[in-house]
Amino acid sequence: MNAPRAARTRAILLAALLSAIAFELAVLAWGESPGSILAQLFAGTWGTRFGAGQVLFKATSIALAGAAAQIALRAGLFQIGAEGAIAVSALAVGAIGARLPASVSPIVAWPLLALVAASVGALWTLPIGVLRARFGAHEVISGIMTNKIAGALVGYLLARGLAERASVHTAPLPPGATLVRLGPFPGSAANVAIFVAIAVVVAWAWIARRTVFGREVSAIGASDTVSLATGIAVGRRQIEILALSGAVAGLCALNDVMGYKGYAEEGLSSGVGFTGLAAALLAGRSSVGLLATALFFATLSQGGLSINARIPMEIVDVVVALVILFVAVAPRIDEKLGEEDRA
Amino acid sequence: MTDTAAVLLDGIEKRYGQTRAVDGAGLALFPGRVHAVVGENGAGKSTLLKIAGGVIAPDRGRVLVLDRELRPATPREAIRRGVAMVHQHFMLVPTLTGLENLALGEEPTRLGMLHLSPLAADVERLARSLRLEVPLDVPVARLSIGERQRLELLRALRHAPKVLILDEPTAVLAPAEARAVLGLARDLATRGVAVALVTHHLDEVAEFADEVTVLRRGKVVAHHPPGDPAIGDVGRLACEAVGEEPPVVARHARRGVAREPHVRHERVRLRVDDLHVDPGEAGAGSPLRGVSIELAQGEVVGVAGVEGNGQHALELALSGVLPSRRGTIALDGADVTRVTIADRRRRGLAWIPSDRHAHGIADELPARDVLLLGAFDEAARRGVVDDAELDRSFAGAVKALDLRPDAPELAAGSFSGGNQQKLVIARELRASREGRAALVLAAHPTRGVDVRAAATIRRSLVDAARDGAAVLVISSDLDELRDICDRIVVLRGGAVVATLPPDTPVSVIGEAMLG
Ligand SMILES: Nc1ncnc2c1ncn2[C@@H]1O[C@H](COP(=O)(O)OP(=O)(O)OP(=O)(O)O)[C@@H](O)[C@H]1O
Ligand SMILES: [Mg+2]
Repeated sequence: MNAPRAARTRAILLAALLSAIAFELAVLAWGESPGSILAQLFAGTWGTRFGAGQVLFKATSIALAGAAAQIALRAGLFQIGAEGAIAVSALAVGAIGARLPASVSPIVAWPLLALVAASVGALWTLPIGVLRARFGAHEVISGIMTNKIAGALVGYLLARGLAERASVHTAPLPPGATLVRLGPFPGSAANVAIFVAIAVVVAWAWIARRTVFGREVSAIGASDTVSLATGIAVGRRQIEILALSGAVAGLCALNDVMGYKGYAEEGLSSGVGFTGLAAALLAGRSSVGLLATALFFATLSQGGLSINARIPMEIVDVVVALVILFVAVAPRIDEKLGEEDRA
Repeated sequence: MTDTAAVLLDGIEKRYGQTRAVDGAGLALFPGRVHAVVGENGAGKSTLLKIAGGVIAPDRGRVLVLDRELRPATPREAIRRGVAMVHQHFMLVPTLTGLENLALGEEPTRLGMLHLSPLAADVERLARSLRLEVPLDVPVARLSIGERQRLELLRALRHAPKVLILDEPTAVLAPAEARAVLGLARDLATRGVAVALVTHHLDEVAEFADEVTVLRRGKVVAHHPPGDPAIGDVGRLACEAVGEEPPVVARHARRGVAREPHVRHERVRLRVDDLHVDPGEAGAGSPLRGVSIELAQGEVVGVAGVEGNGQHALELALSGVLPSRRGTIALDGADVTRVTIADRRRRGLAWIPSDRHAHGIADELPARDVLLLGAFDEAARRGVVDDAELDRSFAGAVKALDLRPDAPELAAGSFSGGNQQKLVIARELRASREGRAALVLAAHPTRGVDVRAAATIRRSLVDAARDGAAVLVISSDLDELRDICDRIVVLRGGAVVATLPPDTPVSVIGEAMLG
């Protein structure tokens, strides 16, 4: 029973190697030296406390969005709508948070706003599940559409009064509604939301493996026709899972609005939903894997900023795309190599 | 044996984790012979033959095709060298048409565009000459099981193979179709093809095979060369295959129980009234045109019919997969015609489906989950699943049905075909053992299982009736129906054309089926 895990490890190492080569080639093509670019990338991320803090901050949102994707994938569904849920939740947390009394205590504000973030996220993706379960509409299409709507809605609501006068963002949250920054990483945006992210990722792994809900969802992911035939409420579970996924995505507002900016604005966390999906695809079902891929993408993203003066940070995006590609094909390459060994 | 073997397997070993699927077995296939490979479920038949077909590479041992090693060990190379295989499970893409499926892997083109018409003419000629007629221009999803099997055969025979490997080709077929396929295999052998035939129907071996190899636990336990009288001795083959001659589960034994005076009142558990069903796109074959049946508590009723006369539509309508256009279905007096599968199950429906892949087993789930699919609640406390409880019910199935291997966490798809069927049986008969089943709907319940397991399953169905359920058995095995049923209804053209007592001779039932 060890063979699949060994194969998977080999595949990941192979993908890492291929990605490293691709990175070097890209840097060389730009006329820079890979060694010194890597050194600078490292210095700008894990090399300083500030850099490390920024990586942790970015990893927090990616891990939450990744958990949202992982949750849906368990049922065989692609949660594209996370991006929209994140945007709408951020605005809701910013708008409601700003209306809390200036003297509000964290004991009230934190759980309240977390509840707002999760429920708005869940409500936002609920229609995707209903469309899928009741009318057979594909969740990827509905996800793309609702993302568009979310983007437009956030802009409209900000312009129509949710934004502070003469600005493009909501009024600042009262101090009691902002999250505590992490002490060891001064100046960075790293904050206690990271513990929420870790807890969510670990909790989902437990729910998926141990609960009736999780096992039924896994069965649906393995075969929806068989699940239906054995009496599992497939439609209801699909709706529940997409809403749960939206709720988790919505929690990104804790990190970005309450932990970092202190207010909501348009495009605040844009793209995180998709990075999270990529992280989840790389991690498979593993929770440790998801936390690791979140850190990896966060490092590349923060590192891209630090080398931007010498090579365009888009090169980092290209490498990220290649990593995903390599991880997708590496198991096949590994299989082929194995076949040749045997022949 | 002056001839050289078309395929020679020697000292083959193949392990999966702790399981030795093939453990030193060998096999020689000679031109002009039908070589039957028999043995209990999980004996290693499919694995051994997949090695011959280049589908699986052995851990150890030699594979020679016409005296030359098969290298590389791939299906492509095997086909190039003239070895064709029909797998135990269909290898067809349901959304593609029959012709498109046959074109996969060769994809003839003209000016860079897919160009299927010459292929179509070719295939039609071949189909006619082999009498394997299949509609080639409809998606496979809409073909019946028998048509799909014929399509698989056509594909295997496309390139005039020297070796034809048939892994349980008759398991899913009605008797007439099965005979046609076996007759074809015989013809091909006469023309010099080496044929390997896996089957659990030992009477087929007696009638159609020249040579027999018996496998058990990955080893060859017996080999009968051509002319050996053991080949015609079904009882002896059964002993060699499963270690004992399986008991016949006959209705007489059952009658002893059912006809006792304390038999419960004739309570109607299933009432089907004037049921009309359109098969739609679901591959349900032909429609149902006004079927009425009534089953009382404790009754076992068989449904016989030539494939494609509404059996599949009846199964899917009773289970709740297909909606009914007209008429009613009532379970224990409650109308369930418009009720979901889940609700029917709550009211006591147990369903052994004919399409295991679509409705029975999810390949990647652990076997213990498959065993309690839809009933995790029963093994949970406050929403948390107790895996020890799942393992206990798995152990129960291992004991009751000789399920193998005893590996509750192994993916269900890694079990041998017969053992997958046992997983479904164990799940569906759980409720009836506890007296909770109102209706056991069993479609081809013994498909693909060895003779001993088949006897166990028949006994369990009879027991389910004794424990109070109504049991409806849809089967193409008329002897099976005659053995365990109280009456047999014959479906023709989507309607019930006859209701016969179980001691009706097979020939009379056959006449009713053909009309
Ligand atoms: N991919 C796999 N992973 C793990 N075990 C496997 C795998 N394939 C086969 N096995 C095991 O190898 C053994 C032999 O399986 P095989 O399919 O060859 O049996 P079989 O004789 O064809 O049985 P049946 O009559 O049920 O079709 C079984 O115990 C099966 O569980
Ligand atoms: Mg087999």
